[in-house]
Amino acid sequence: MWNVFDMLSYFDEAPSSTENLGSLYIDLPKKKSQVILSLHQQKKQCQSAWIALLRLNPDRQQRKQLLEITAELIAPWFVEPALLMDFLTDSYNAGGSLSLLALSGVFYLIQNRNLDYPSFYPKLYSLLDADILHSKHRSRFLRLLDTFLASTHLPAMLVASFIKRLARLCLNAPPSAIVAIIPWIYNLLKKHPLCTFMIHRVPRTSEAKAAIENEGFKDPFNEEEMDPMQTQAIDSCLWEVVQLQSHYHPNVATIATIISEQFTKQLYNMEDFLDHSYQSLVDAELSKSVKKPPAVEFMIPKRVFLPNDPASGVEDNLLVKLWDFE
Amino acid sequence: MPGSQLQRLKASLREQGVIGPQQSKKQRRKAAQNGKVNTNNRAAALESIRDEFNPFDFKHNARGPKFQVTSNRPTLGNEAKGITGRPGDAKAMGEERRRQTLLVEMNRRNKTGGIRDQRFGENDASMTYEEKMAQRFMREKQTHHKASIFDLEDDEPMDALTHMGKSLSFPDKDDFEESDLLGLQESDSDKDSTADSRGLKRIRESEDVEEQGGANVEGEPERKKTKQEIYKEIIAKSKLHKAERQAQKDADEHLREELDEELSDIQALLFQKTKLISGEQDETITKPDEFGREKMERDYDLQLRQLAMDRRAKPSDRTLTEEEIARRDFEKLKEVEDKRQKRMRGELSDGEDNNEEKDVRDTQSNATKLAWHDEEEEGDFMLGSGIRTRPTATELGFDDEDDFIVESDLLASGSDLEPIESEDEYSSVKEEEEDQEDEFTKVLLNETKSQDPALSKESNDPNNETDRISSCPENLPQLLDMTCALSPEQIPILIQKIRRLYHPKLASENKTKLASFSRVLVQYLFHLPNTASPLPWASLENIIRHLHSLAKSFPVDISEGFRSQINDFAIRCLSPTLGDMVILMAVGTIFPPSDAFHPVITPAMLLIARYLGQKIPKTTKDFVQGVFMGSLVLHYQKLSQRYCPEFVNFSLNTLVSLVPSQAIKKKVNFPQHELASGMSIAGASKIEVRKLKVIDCVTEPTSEKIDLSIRVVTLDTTVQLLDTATQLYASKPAFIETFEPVLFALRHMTESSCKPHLPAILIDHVTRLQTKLQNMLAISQLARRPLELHHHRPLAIKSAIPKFEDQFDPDRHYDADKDRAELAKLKAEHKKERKGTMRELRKDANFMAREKLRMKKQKDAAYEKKYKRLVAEIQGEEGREANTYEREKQARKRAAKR
Repeated sequence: MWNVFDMLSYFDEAPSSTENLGSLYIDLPKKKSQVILSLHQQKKQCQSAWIALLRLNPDRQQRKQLLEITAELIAPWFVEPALLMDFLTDSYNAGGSLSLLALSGVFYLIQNRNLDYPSFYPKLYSLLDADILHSKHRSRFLRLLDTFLASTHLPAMLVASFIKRLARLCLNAPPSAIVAIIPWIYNLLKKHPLCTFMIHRVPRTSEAKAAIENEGFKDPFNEEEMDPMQTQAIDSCLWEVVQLQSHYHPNVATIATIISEQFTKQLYNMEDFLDHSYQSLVDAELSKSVKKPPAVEFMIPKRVFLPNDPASGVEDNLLVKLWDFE
Repeated sequence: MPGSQLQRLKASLREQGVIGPQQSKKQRRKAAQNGKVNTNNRAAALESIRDEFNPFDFKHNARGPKFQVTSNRPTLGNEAKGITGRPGDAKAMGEERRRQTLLVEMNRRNKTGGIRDQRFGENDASMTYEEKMAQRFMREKQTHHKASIFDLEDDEPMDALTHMGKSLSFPDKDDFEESDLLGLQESDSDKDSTADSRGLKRIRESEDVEEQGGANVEGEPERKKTKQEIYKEIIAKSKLHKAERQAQKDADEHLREELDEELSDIQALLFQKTKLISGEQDETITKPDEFGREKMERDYDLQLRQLAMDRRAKPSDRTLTEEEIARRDFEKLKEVEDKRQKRMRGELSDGEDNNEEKDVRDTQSNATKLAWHDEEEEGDFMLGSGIRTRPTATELGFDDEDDFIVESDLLASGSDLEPIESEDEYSSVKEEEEDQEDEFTKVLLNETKSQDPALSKESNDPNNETDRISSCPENLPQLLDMTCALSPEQIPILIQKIRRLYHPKLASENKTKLASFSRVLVQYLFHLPNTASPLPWASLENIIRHLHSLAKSFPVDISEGFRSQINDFAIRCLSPTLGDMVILMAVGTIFPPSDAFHPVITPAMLLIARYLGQKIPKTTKDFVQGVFMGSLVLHYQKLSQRYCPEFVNFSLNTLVSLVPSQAIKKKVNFPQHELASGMSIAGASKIEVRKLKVIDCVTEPTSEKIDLSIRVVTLDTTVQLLDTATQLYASKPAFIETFEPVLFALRHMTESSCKPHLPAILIDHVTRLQTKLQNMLAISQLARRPLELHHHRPLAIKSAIPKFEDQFDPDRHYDADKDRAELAKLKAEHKKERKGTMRELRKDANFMAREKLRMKKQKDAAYEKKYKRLVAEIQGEEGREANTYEREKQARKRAAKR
């Protein structure tokens, strides 16, 4: 099966017209109606080959490999792309990284072949789980997500759910993910002004004010709700982003402040933020040279590892309290 | 000084030869030959003189000023009268200049030549570079030797003063005139009314002389003295004065000599006291011989000079009272703390950092460009005021810096509280180590002294220590060589000694030596824990403290050292060694971890977070390491309270992985690690909970029992860390979301499936944290408010009102675009210059044509004259011959007739 995959994936893009069929490595037959000269026939053959391959019931790893090239290489060969639908929707429903990979294929079908996938957004929403911001397909997914939510015609409630959900996930995300999510949130807020209530909500009535004063503001966002239209995220607030304004990494903290500053910039270019990693951030920090003398702690502590003399009244540092340096 | 208009006219007419004394025939002929005055030239010369001497030839705008303008500058002089130029003057000047330059060149054209000898000057190939330069310098000096007119060295006479290129003195006329001397009333009408000041002075002098002299000749009728008489009088007077002065001087001299002779007596009176005290001195003083006097005078001068040089006494700083000292210290500490707060908020004042705060939006193409804004406004939106349990300075032990007694033998100039200087820190460290040294000496006395050259001196001969440490270690192997024979406890002493020997105050190069030593020390700090066992924590602590005090003098070197260590750690990020941990610990101590951005702290923190984020613990060791890293995170963020997601993730994962039984799967927001097998704790209820040991981070536990106990302790430490974290992050806006999963995990630990397996004390910790967390979550919920981030002032619409200029000047151009204004200015200048140059060139060409024509005419005239002369000559000759012929003919005719 693997050889077949290699061979089939070797034909890269499907030719767009009969002229670009390319050389066939054999003498061309004279008759015009020969099967080999017809683009349609060629596509048909290729399609059946792929379908035969897909029917072999590939395992998870193989599926992943297939899905990786679906949108770019496989789908264009199909005369009837609907035939791919089963495979893709199955993969999409499988969850985890398979869904992630199937996403681009499904999107291809929706975009180019008019596939109707009614629960696309709920499904997309369900993909936002704890691991998504830690997976290695993060930037790929975020790119697609950016495309899916680019439309200004989407309901604000749905967009708000996505924003809130990702903000929530950011609380446990690596800095490289946070720097991508926050500009993305900014862009969405800019596109959907209704969602800006999530960052600026002044209680209007005196009763509401009193309620908030007395009981605090209860987050109406329902994390368990699977349907992005029902999560009430639009009535919530983005405290998570505000918390990230005090992120330990100065750049992340700075990026988080864009949410609370005036929205003067039209849109952020997402490509600038997507491809970061711990390594790139560390490299960026260490490649800067020290020009001016860095600040040095004024006080030299009496003890670093060993417990202080209890008589001195100086508090031990946290490590000394918790650890045994003997 | 210019003469009057008339005088100038006369002078120039004379110069041109138009007027002048009657010339003899011969002179005239000569002049004619030179072509000086013929009628043509005469006319031209007169014309030029007329032009030149018409200062009233003004150029006006034909129809008055172009625009009626009001300017804030007052109009003066020519401008006020609307005069835009003086064509006559300008023309004359231009003509004159051309005659001096262009004409000379023209005449010399095709005529000058010469040989340039390349053997001289800097072109000589055989010269060395220096000689060439010397030659060039000489040449330049010669060519540019435009000596000042006031240069006394100059042999040449001073250039006469000029006005508008004309000499002010008239060479053919003596400016001394009797009439000047005798008074202005008789001065000629054509004389300039402002006679020269020298003249005036002289007048006054002569008047004085007259008055004085007048006493003698009283009664005589006023008579005009001759010049000779006046001078005689002056001379006589001055001679008299001189004689008087001489006499006075002589008298003075005499008096002084007398006084000098009496001086010894006077001095004896003056220095009576000293004489009593110092017997030998009085000998010399009393002996009035020549030598003694000289010596005394010298001494006197010396003393005088000393007195003059003595610094005036200044009031010294008052000894401060205790309150004042305390206040001063408090202010100092407050300042330091303010600075720290500022850095924590990221408000930096230097320009350098402002570069970094470029627009975030444009600069994020890669991570280096992630611009880092200075502002964090989070404070305004925090829920509640936050628990800022910042201990006061004294609590933190700040004052131990100042408590030490400054030792007199120390090099440091006891200047206190100078954070940049290392002296006081140095001495403080030294002071502290003094007590330790005592212990060491005791130990050392028992040991063999010869074993270690660096230490044996400690006990007996502190003066000799310079011989012992051969050199300041410049790289790690050197330091290792030095320390190989030492026990870890002795290393701080060695360091201290090196620092004392190579103190920057002792020699200028010591600064660089110590700088490189501090880098080495950082490497050593990494090296020591990796090699030594058991870990000498006291020594490490001391090294860190040494590094800290060195860091105040060499912040760049130390930070570079730490950065390179961090760089190494970045490579093996997920498997840190003990050395890395010590380095991270040292970084958090030496540098302020609360800074928003710090070149050492930021990468270190990032690496710690990276470990916590990416490490998936498989063994007990990994968990212990993770807990250590987590403690470091909280240690770093103690003051700044920055949020670290990775820490929360790791702690949660630790709780989930180590508990005896798994909770029911619940949707969580943190990525759960795959559970490592055999990590869950079981049957540990009897195990004693102690503190974690750092050594556990790197060593695999030897037995199953120890392994289990370590895991239990890890769990306990994690709970404690989370306890600290809840306090730290209590005021965070998303506290509820962050810590709810923690509460779930804790709740699970107290459930029946886990409880029996865990020791009671741990359960106690857990329940305590659980209740605390519950309370805090409830408080946080109460304190939660909807976000109101955008109470910004509405953005102003761009105004289109023209900018009003307060001091408008129509002559100036007001272009808002600076570049364009500059360009316009340049263009205008270029145009002006171009026109000027063209005009000049045209005038030059005209002048040249004129001159050529004049020369041609001259030549033609000369030719014509010559031709005429020749013709006349020939004609004369021929006429004579013809006459002769005629006469002959007539004679013959007559003869024939006869």
